[in-house]
Amino acid sequence: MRVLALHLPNWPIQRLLAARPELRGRPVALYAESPRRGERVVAMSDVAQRRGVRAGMPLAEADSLNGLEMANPPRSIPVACGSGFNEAIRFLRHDPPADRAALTQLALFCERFSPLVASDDSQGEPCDLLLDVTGLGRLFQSEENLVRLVSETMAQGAANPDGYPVIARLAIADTVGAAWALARFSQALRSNQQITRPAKDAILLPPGREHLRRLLAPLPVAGLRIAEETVTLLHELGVTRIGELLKLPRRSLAARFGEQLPRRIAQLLGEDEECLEAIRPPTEFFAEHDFEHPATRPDAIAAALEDMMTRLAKLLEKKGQGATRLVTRIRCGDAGRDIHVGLFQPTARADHWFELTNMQLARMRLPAAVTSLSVEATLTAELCERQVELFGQSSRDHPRRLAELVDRLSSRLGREAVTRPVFRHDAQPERACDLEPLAGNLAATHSSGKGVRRFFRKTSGGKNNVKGPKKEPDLGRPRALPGWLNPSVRPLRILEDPAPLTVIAIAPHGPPMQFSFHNRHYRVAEYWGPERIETGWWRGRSLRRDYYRVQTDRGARFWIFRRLCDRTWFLQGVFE
Amino acid sequence: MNPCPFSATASSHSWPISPREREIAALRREVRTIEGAGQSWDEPPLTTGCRELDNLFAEKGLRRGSLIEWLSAEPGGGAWSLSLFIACQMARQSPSGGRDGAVAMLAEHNDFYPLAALAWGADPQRLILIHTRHRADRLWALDQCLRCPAVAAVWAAVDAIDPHTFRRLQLAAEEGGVIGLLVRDARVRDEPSWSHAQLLVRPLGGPRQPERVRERTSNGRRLQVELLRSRHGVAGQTVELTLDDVRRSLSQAEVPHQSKTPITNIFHHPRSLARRPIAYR
Repeated sequence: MRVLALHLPNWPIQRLLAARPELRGRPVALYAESPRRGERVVAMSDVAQRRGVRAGMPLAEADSLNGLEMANPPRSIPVACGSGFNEAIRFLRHDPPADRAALTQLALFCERFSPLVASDDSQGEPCDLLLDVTGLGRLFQSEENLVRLVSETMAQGAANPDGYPVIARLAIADTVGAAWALARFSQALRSNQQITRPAKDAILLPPGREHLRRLLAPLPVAGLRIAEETVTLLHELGVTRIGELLKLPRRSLAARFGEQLPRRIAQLLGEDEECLEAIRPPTEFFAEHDFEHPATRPDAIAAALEDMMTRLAKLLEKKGQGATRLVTRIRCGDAGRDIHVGLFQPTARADHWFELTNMQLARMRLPAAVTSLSVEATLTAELCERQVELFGQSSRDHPRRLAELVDRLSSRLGREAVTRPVFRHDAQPERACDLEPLAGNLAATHSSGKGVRRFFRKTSGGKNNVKGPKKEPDLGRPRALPGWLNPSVRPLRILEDPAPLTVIAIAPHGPPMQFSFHNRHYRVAEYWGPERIETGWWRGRSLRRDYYRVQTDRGARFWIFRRLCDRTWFLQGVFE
Repeated sequence: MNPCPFSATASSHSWPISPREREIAALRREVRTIEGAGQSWDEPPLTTGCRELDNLFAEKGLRRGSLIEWLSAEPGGGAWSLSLFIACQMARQSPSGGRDGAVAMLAEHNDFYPLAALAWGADPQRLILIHTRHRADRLWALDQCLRCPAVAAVWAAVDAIDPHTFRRLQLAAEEGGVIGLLVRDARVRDEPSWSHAQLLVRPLGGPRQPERVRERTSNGRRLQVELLRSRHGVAGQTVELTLDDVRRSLSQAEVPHQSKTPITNIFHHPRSLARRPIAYR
């Protein structure tokens, strides 16, 4: 067996920068909330790291690196000044479901190199891909060529639509454990004639498990895919290298450190076989088309696509199944593009699939002439039965049409662009609203729904929202709104970054009488408040504000607040 | 107040209609039918929740398949709130599957707060929020929502719409039978418009109130709504309303009065406003 491991260092940041070009070159850090430890940094960009942000650092401490500009809210981006170093560090919530989804996309992309691609999540969040390349060296002329090709493909950004490069470290070895360890810690290896380095950050061990014990000895024990506590304990005992660990009697390790450690050693050396669980299991709903000559005409490609989808739809209909996730693969020689479509409801309508796929295809730039096409229903569910109407359209058809509208919008605009709001109990207004995507997500329709987006915060820690096939598109479970929430309390427009105001108040802690905003002066005729909003210390920099709803003498209404720490005024929202 | 003899919806009047006037009214109806081919004239119009506001429109309400523009005279003026309230009203009158009709919302601004939309009574199960980064995507999404008959109302805060796209949106609304509520800035009032009606919403202020602190209640917002353009009716009317944001209701503040501005003809181009007004008899 030969395994190619791809280690994607700092994957959450890589994923974020690929999705959001405006954050490239800027100081960005991701944080996650833990019930016991509070909010802590989990990943950061290089610029943020140079500013002193470290993984595991409390968010409040990391936020304090932003300097003493109290006028701006803690998580704002001021005007860019070129290098990004003088900008405030931007803190975003870590989104593990989005990371997993992006990794799955990358894994599917890597299927052009190997038919079996798996991800490894032994260290918590997955950031490694494992490809079974047994016997594939001949297809690519040699394993060195294969590694070089994968490395170049990642570096050229072929995996990302806008060409953003993927940073990856590669290694090929006889076992999963060895490849994994080498991909992560190859810099610890001494130069050896048996070790080949076909590309930068790529390493290749010769076949033969008899060399593994000697070649892997210099690697650190963290390369064994064991728990962090075990690594810490080994370090305390003075065992830092795999070679030192291998000298110890295996039987005593189980008694001291548990079963995981000797099992991992056995897997590393090839004494125990380890199976790879493919990200995409074989599917029965598949159609493909090979062009006799590479096709460049859009109508020819569209005709072939439509024909394949019609065949696939018939196949699904026979089994009473509908697709909720569809993948169209367009091969252009060595390169290619994939189109992923998520559906709100299981459907077996080829025209609907074609419309959604063509929407993305029309905007896609193909690298070369198309040599083959394939369509696969990667996720299916039972079809909902619907009585056919003989005359015209009736309201019974509305659920289907609504689902198709959501599918169309999600297909073109993206899953996260079509959402529904969900109330969340939080004192801070910006955090009181979550946005849940409506369309079936790419991971699964039947498992827990992922990717809940916090309003104003693009990432969130995912909520479980079980969705299954329904006869009517349920746009969401009702979440009861609190009794105090009425339109007079919260405005329709809330500024993400509150705007500073110049306010005249009679008393230092009194209500506003006049204020100026955008060179316009307003006189307050009526006001309601103050409404005090405070956040806890565990949020990092806590907020303490007195909010007022004011109505000017012209009848316009605004939502302004006074920051209690320095008594400065800001405009938070407008009652449009 | 004497009803306008040229109004197609005048049902009773104090003097007999001459044959010429009857013929003009019939021709108006025919033109309206031809222009509004996609609109269903058999169904009764939908109410905004306030009879006085309904009376501003030629059909005494809003017809499915129509685009209505709400121009905001100034920030914080209440145009968004009023139009959103009406969108929720439209959804309640268009049930589907035993629940309110679906409402699609698009906002050009990233600071649109959806929770406030829920507070206006939008059914969260029937609310679709669409966020786009580019103007082209936004107008495309608006077009798609207007074409979907399963959507009861589309609420969109958009500013720049070129005439060609506007015409397409109007046809999309007629095709889908959806009520489109477009909230825009008042600066666009002189631009060509394909909407069925264009209304200007102004806040009504008042004298400064004595110092007092209120609880979490409001005494409602007073708004003035002026009909700037109407495809089938008489423009220039205004009505003063009270939008109670606690009880979520809309009512008249004062008796509507006839403005002294000349009536517009049935065409929408602003140059037509410069024509000599037809005098009342």
